[in-house]
Amino acid sequence: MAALTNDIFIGPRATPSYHFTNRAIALNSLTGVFGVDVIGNNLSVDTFSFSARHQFDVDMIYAPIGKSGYLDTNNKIYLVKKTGVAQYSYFVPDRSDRLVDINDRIFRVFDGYASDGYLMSLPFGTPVFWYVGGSFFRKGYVQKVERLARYAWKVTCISGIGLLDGKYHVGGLYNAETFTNICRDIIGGAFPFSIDSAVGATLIYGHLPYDTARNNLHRLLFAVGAAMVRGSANTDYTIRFLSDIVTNVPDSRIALGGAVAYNTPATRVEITEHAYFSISSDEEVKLFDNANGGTAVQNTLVIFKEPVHDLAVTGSLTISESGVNYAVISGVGTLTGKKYTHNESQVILGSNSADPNTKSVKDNHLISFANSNNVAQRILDYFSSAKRLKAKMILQGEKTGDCLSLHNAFGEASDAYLSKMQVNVTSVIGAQCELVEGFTPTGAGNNFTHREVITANGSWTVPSGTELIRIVLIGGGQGGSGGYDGEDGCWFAGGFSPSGAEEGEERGGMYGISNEFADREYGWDDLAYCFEAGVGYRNGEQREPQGGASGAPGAPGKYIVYDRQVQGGDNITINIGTGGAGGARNGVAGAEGGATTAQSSRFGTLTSADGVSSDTGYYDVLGEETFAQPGLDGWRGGNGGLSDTSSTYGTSGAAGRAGENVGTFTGGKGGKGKRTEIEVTYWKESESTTPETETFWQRTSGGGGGGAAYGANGSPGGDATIIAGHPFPDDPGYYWGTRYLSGIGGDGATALPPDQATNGNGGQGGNGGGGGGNLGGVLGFCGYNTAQRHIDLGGGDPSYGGTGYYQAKGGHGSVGGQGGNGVAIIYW
Amino acid sequence: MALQRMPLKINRVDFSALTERLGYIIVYEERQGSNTMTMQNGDEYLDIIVKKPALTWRLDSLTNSDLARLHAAINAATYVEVEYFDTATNTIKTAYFHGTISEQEVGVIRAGGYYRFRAPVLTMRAR
Repeated sequence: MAALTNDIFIGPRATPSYHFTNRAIALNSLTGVFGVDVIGNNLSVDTFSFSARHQFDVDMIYAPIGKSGYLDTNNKIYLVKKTGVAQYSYFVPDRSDRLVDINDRIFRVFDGYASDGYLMSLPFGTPVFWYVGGSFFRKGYVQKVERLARYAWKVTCISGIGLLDGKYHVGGLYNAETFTNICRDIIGGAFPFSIDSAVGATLIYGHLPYDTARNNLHRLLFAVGAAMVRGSANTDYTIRFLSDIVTNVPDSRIALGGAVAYNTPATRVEITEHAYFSISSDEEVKLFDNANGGTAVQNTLVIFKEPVHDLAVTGSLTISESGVNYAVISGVGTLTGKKYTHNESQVILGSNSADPNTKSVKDNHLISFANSNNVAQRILDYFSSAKRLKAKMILQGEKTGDCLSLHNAFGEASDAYLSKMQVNVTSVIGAQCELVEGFTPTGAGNNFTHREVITANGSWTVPSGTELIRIVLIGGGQGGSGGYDGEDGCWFAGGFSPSGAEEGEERGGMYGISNEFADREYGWDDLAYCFEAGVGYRNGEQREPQGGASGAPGAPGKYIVYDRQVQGGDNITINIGTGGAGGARNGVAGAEGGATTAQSSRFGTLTSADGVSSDTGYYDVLGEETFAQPGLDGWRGGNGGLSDTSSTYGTSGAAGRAGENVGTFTGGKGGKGKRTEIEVTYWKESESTTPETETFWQRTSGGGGGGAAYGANGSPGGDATIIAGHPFPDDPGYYWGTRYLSGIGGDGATALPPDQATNGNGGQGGNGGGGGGNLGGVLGFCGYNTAQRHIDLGGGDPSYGGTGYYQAKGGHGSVGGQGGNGVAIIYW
Repeated sequence: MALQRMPLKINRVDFSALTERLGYIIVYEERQGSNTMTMQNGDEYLDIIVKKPALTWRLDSLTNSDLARLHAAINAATYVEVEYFDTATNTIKTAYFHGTISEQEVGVIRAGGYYRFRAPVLTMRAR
């Protein structure tokens, strides 16, 4: 029987600054607490501490009386120094802290008076190595030093995980990133560690926030089900899945007493899994703003509450570094970004009874489709059956994370994981231990690493060795609603110029602009008053005939996610739901899509009809693809073109305006206008004897072009024309003079229907028809005498040689697009 | 035949002569750690770190000058070198001990101003 030798080295192992052995360490003061949480609920910081005397009575060796020095076998001279004890002298090598005696034994000399700075100046994080019986036992880092007495010190050490509390990790968004890469990013150079290959290759999906490195490491370990177990002097930790290899601990090493505690069994677990992805409609948020008189910032860290993408700055603000969770900015301005879409869903295992004892995990955003089942199973297994044992043991190499076979406090044989030990090294390594019995660590790593997307009816066979699959059934999307017809071009209701709209009057799309001559009296050769009329007015405002609106997009197909136990070789029959047909034009709703089903003799029939529609759709993390999204908007029809809107006396014929383009499809060109001038002699007043001659002009505009629609161009507007004079049919003494006819409007284009959607998406809304072009307007003078000119609108009265008044038609809207056919996605 | 003296040097001062009439008592103390426990199989585990000697010496009728020499020897340092007879090894050994003397009662006052003290006890525990 003898005390186990303890050696504490402070500083680098090869060249420690201090070395304490048993004779300096107070008995029962060298203790440690070490732990591993078998399900990863906690990432604990191991600690150990010891109290040591810094000063001893000097180990004396004695010079021969009367001698002043000593020459050793290496020809090194040691000088005699008188001490306070008058009778004796001791050798102190000059400027050294070690004694060497005549037998070449080395003693450590301590200065009789320890300075206040001794050990107190140890920097935080200095490595400390603890050896027991000559073998490596633990490594830690100085957390604090306390002075207990004049020559007594207490040093408390923490494990490498404790160092991570003071270190920040910027987090990130991960899509199939390896565990190893993320772990190395988190831990950095804080301490050496190794990762078991099975753990390291695990692919991670999800999000880590800007947080302490310890918290993020905890999230990572928990999601995967890995543990950090003690390593060696050179490697603080090995990260691995817990082993089920059992080590026997005989009764002769377990003290009487102890305890067995039972958990209140959980009957249900609810695990929230997370998916992050970006879509075009992601919400833009303001992240920083010092634009309104704020002080300029310099290299300022801005941390975001949620991950964002597409950062943008205004003003003089610049970004020197950024990630999904943060940006470092300088200057003055605003910083904006778009929030990633964040979908959550739940995996629920266990009882559906009325009053379950439920354990939930909600806020670890590395729990994804890939690992949620494993996490759920692990939590349920632990909380539904685990017992906690307490026992005092004499350890012989056991460490936390080991599975031990022993007798519990009631003498029952138990296999249990050593989860915590409070160690005291004396003549043995004694430890108060806590163990977890009745739990086998399962559910580590990822459930799903493969996927297949099925788009046609057929059968799928479960691969050999597969025990769990996830089936996502996405039904056919609803068809889009029909697109709307375009407005007809403007037209005047009955009559013909000059009996069209009076000044200020709106009639049938025609609006009188002014009537300069309305109050004049004329002679026999009176001139009819003339007017200016623009065509295309509605409610006092000239506007283009509107293209038809697009139909409403169809709703996405419903989707539902199932996790099912299977066996290799099982056949699953898949029937894909057809996308619903698009609705008829003018807003008729599209038909609902059909359901997608999966049927197996093992689990019966599953159907997407039991699922839900979602505005954000279903995001396939493995394939980085989104399904079951709402349909796209259709194309609005192009507006019809106006006639000349000008009320000024232009010097050229006024062309009609072109119809509006739609994508690559063009609106019809506007028709050409005409302008002529005539000299008219007339008597201004009825009693006037002197005629006056004045030059009048007539200006007629071409018709507006028809608006385009998706799939077709608009028709061109008609040109203004001149028709030779034509007699009145019922009064041959009168006849219409040369008539200037404005151009008719071009018809709006009829839209083609959109293509069928895909991926269970809603059908695209039907495309709108193009608006018809407006009649050409008239500006100018007209009269009734035989030399008169007559100005008419749009084709003119066929009775008088015109081609007929024609109202341009708006184009038809299209039927709505067919909804996308459904899809089945199987993960294993 | 003269009595054999039990050797006793304290801090290299020979007090053997004073052991002639009364020797000292040696007992070996077990120094235990906190891991002493009874095991599940009934075994008792004693967490004995080490066994160390402790000397007890009854100092009948020391003179004042003897007593002063004894004080000086044991107080030279917290732990002083002691040469003693070790019963466990049947040898004379040297080790460091911490010594204390119990209450010292004046016994006899002799003419000439010296005293003899009645039965003080010296107790020394090895370091």
